Amino acid sequence: MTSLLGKSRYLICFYMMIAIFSTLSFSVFLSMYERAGILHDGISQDSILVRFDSSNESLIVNDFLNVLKESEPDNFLIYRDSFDANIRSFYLWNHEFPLEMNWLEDETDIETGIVLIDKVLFANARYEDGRYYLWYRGYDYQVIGTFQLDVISGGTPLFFPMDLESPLFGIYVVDGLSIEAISSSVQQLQELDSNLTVQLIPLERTFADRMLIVVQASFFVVISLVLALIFIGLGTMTHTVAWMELRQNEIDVRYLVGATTKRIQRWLLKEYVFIISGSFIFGCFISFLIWQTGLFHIIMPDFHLLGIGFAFMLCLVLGVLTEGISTQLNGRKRGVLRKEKAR
Amino acid sequence: MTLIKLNHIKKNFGAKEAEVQALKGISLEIKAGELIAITGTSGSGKSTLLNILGCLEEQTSGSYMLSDHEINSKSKLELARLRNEMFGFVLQDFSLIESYTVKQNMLLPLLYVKDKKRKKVRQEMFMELVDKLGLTEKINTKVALLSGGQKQRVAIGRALINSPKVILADEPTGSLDKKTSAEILDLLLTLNKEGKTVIIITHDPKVANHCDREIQIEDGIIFKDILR
Amino acid sequence: MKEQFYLSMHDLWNRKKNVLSLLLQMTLTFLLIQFIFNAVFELQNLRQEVGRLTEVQDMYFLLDVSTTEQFFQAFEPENIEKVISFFEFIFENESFKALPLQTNTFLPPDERFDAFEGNMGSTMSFMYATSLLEALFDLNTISGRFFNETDYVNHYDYIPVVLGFDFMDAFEVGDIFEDSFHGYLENFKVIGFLEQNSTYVDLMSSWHFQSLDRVMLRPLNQNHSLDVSYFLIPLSKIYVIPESTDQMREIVTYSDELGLFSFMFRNMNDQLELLSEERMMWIQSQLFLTGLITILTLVSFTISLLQFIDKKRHEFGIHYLVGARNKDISFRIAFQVIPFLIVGSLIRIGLLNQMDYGWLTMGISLLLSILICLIPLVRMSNLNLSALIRWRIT
Repeated sequence: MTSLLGKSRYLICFYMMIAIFSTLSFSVFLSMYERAGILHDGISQDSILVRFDSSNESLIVNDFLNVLKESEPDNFLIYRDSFDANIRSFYLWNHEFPLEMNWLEDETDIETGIVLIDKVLFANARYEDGRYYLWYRGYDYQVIGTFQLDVISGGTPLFFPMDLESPLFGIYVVDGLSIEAISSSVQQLQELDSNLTVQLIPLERTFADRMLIVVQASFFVVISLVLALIFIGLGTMTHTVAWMELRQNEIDVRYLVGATTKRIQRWLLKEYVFIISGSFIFGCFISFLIWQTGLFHIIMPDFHLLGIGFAFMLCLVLGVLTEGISTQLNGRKRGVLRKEKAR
Repeated sequence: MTLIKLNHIKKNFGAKEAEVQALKGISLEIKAGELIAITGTSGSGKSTLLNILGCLEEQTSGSYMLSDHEINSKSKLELARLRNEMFGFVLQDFSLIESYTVKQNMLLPLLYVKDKKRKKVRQEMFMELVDKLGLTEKINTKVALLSGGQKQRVAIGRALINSPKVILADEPTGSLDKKTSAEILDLLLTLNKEGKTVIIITHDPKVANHCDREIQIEDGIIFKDILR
Repeated sequence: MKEQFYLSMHDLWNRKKNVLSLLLQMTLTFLLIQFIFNAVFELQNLRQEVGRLTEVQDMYFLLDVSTTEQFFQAFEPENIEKVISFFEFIFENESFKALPLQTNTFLPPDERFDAFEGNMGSTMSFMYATSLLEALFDLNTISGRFFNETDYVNHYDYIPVVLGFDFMDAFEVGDIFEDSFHGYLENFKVIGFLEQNSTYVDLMSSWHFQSLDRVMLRPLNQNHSLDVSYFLIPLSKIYVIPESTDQMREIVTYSDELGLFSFMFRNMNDQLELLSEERMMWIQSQLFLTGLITILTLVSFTISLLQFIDKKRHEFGIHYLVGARNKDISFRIAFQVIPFLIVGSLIRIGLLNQMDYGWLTMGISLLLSILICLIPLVRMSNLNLSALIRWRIT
């Protein structure tokens, strides 16, 4: 055992390094992937886009809300899009406003409309009689709160309460209800207005979409990671060949006393996997300590268990492949395989 | 003239509990131009003595005078210079760099000669030496392709290239057949006749019989010092 | 020493495949280190620049929150008076300073522009210049002159333009060219060239310093003979330096009264903080990656050298035997890192085509090289001499 560890010390160091590198990288990658799943304006992956087209204007927004509430949901949130990219209207049913609020007014002025604004636009509001007002397109709105948009993806800077009496047609985003629940509610509306056409589109980003976002947002990081993985592969090959050379004497002796190439390969593989696993545990522990320092908390808020799994798989696949290739190369170099084939 | 003087040399290996005393107090004087055989059984301490004589290892205690130099007080740097200028080593396994050619191996000591004039003179002597060793046709051949006898000639050539005062040979015929052994031994005897001090470590009595003096070592001490 | 260098090069040549992989790794590390320095220092410079711009008075950006309906209305010919009125209110107002920073494209049918084709094909970029732009971003001409007071007021047969430094290869002061890309013919006359590396900052578009080397500047000049789009282009991106925030509200109210535009204002310091936060995230991910790859390189290199020492023990022993000093063998090992340092740095300089903060990268690269040698050299000096001679790799 001591001899094995002694002869494998460089390989152990290298695999520990790979373990640290891959565990942290996969954790960062998974954090980025999770982040890519967050949609604009704080809505979740399960949100459904609902598009109403109707020639009949008899249906109003409130009708839609009422049928939704009939399914007795715990809570939901609806955004209604306008033609203006800077504005969205919202409706909350037992639901909190999904963006991080800097402050929220308790009392509202019923004389005017209300608005929630991006905190960087708060200077636009004027202070009057203990309240903040925003002059917008000829009207005064009471500012009831400011929120913080995501630094990277941004979002809508102005949110107004939804006009419940306005005609229904338009585009909505519903968060908190399943597509089945929305679909059955919509069917009730279609019974009231046979001309009503509806499209329901799940907004969940697919794996490919999210991967694309990750790659686009961090193209350089991804490229560098891929290059690093290639170097790791090449490095593993070099160090494994060197490890094999160090163990040549043992290999020769085993061959001499009658071991077949297959048995030698199995024996080497067993020891190699033992080295990979041991090194990985230590490397993984070090990467956990690195994460604990909080040095990279922005890009790696969580230490993903799945990341550890991926990293171990990478080490194992890389290790088994390089060990296999090295054994073959070594056998050829020493003529062992040729001799066996000749027999 | 005394060239080498060892006074109560001891050499220990290993840590406290597992300590092994390889040399237990060796005192010895060697004059310039002597041909000496150091004999003894395996593990008697003769190779350790050679390593100390060749400044490859430091003794644990005792003093070592080489010519005018007090070896105990020398730095690693000075010891390296002494190895380069004072000694030529011929070892049982030849200690040649297999991937180098005969010429590269033989000229290796000149890499570490500081004195440019000396270096130039020694380089000019190279062909003469190659001729003397019968290696003229092999100078650009890689050592790996040579026979055992040829390799030992190359080792002797390397030992001589810098014109050292002492040739230290550790079992120089140990890996060779009878005929080649005799040739190598003749070569060493010739070198001694030319004025070199030659110290041969051997367990072969036939080789020892050719020497003027035989120092027998047993269990880390000089058992017999026979002058012939 | 010369011999040791030769031997170390020979050692590298003997394991060229491994060396090639390590070289690529080292180069990637150097590139990443350079990127980190670039990002950190550019952010620092940007903060300084914005700090300088807003040192005396705050700077605001007018965020256009107009509706699509308003957008189309503004293009209606009957509304041109309102547009001009807003144009004058913004750019000819004596109580505050305003800066149009919209970069637009034009398509001059002149073969002298062919060599400067941008990403959009043969379209070229132009910006409206004001005396404020000149003063804020310290724009100077390397030949000819910048716009004077009359250039901003008078209408000539030829519109005076100042070209970016790169255009000096194809144009001279006094050269004329024409363009009708925006639907009306305009004649331009080159009156000067900007100094090389002239830049401006447009925080609402990017955190980078924007280069003016391939941009044409034309004076913001109220030319009533042109159509409404002429006035709308500079109004699409306005930065304002007001005396007080009330003036910003006045702008918002006035635009609202005209009914054609809706604006809100954003303080550039807030924007800088947001950009810094975004940038820090980028820098952190970059730092994370660079750190990991640097350690990977360090470990790979160190292990490679240690394996080399193990493999060459017997050879080193022979060198010691014939008189080599520790120093000689140490140099032979340390010299092996030099080609990586040189070639890696040359590739880095070649690929990035810049030397900014290169000395810092060089310093870090040197430190990395020293660290790589450290453990192997310590190990080498700890090896027992007589054991070295007996060492054989089976």
